[in-house]
Amino acid sequence: MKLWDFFHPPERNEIAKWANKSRLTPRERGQLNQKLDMLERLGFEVAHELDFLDGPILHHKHIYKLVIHAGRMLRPLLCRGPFDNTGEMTLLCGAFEKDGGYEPDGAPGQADENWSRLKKMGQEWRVHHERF
Amino acid sequence: MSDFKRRLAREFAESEEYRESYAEHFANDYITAQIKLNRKGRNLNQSQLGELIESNQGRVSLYEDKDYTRWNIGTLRKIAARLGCWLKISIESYGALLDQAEHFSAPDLLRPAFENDPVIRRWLNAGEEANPDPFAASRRIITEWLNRDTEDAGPLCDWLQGLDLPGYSGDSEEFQWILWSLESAPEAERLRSILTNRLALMIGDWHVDVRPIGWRPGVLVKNVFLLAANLAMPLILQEPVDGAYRREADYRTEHGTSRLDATSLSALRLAMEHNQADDRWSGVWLEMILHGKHSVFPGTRYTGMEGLLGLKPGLDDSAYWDRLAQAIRMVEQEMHAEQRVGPGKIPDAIEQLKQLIQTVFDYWKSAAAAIRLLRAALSVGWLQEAGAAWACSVTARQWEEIIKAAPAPLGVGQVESALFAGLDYYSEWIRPPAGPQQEEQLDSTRNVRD
Repeated sequence: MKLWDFFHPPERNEIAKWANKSRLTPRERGQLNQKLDMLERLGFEVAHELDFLDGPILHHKHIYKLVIHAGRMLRPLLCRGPFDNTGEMTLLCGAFEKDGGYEPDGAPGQADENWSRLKKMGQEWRVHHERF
Repeated sequence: MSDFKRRLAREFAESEEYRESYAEHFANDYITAQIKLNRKGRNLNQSQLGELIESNQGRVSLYEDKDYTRWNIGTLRKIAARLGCWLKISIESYGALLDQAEHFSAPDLLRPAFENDPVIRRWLNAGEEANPDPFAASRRIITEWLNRDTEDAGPLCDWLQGLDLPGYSGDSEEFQWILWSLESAPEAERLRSILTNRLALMIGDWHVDVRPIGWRPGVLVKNVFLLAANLAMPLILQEPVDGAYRREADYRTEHGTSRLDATSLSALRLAMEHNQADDRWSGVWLEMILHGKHSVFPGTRYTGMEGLLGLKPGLDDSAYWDRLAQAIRMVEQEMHAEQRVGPGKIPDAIEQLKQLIQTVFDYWKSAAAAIRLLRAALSVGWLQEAGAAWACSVTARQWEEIIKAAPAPLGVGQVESALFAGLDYYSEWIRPPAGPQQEEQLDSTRNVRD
């Protein structure tokens, strides 16, 4: 299973940008990378079956969240595919969950919008996942 | 070396906090996933497992929650015992974590219950009289499926993953068990032919290499191609296998990586090698022979040679032998162009050519092959190194007398001359160069004589 990051041409990797902006601690990075390594190996179906992935998120039928309980509630939002549903997943938007809501506010909507853009614009709008 | 492990090792070296966090969450995910998968594998729901461990559904749900961290060894031991297993508690190195993280997969987390443990069964049966026909049960279900008019390939997918295959204990490859089971079936040839057609559908129409079904997709894909290789029915299988090869090559061109793992790629190459009705893959084999590697497949010059050997093999087909001789000539020319030819140069050019020629002799296991190859070599024009490699390979197999006695389609003189020239060139090749000391000695001897 291949992992991709949503990319805003010409040079903005949205996921790497979120990670940098969030100033992840080594502990959070360790936890995030471990989850994503596992996701890559298990594949979407098994990871979902084992509840490592939650979703689809209400009103956002393509968007799933990776649930990570660290000091902060990390919630990278991702989708299956979207170009090859059996062999890839794409991280669409970085987020945290706080007090029952998302930070940034409206993160699932943003992820949905990125999904539509990616579908419309094609492969140019994503890059191989950059480790945290 | 694995890129993943190298990258992870670097991250581990960055900070203690990082590696401890990674390890802690890996261990948590490992145990929760293991409980859930093994429970489901035994068709137990959370309530049933809860009852078995004298607890309840809510507690089991908690134990299967990836964020639960307050493990109790007694409870884990009880869960393991009720699943027919034992609990291993072990302190591990970070080096071991690299390996475990790389191979984290659902099949690796499954454990058989004691009653179904193949290792236990094997040891219990050791020394007892062997089952007169270990394939009887699997033969019955496979034959029944093949005789049924169905398009459901589900059973074959399961068998090729080692599931529901009676008697199968994991000692051999899954596809092999299926073929062994069919060997003594009535109308075995007809059944093999049906199996081949269904396999062709799986590869050609359903693209099982892209969309494998089941819990062990890697094992399935590998076994699909190994089965295709062993059925070896080029007229039925070449087209679908070619489709799988093209899909993989296109994927690689587009993404720069392989979709299949190395084992499945080797199996696909083997399926191609054994299913060549026409020469569409000769470019693949020549690329391997010439460069010692291929853009899609793992392999060496010798695997490339094996591919070429499998291309419509015929002892009396001169085009076939010309192709082989031409390939060896290309390698030799490449070595010269790269200035890798000369006594003492490493790797030794003649040794490498010998190995290529021995691959041919290994395949044919007959001195007639040496004569056919020589005839083709004379026609395409080998250089001295390949000639020497040929002569050495012939003498290594002690075929000199046989080929001299039965030289057709060549003359005795041609065979003898090729042998003599090759061995003569080789003896010069391996003679140690005269060093300054030896030259001095020669000079002093000369002086004494003078």
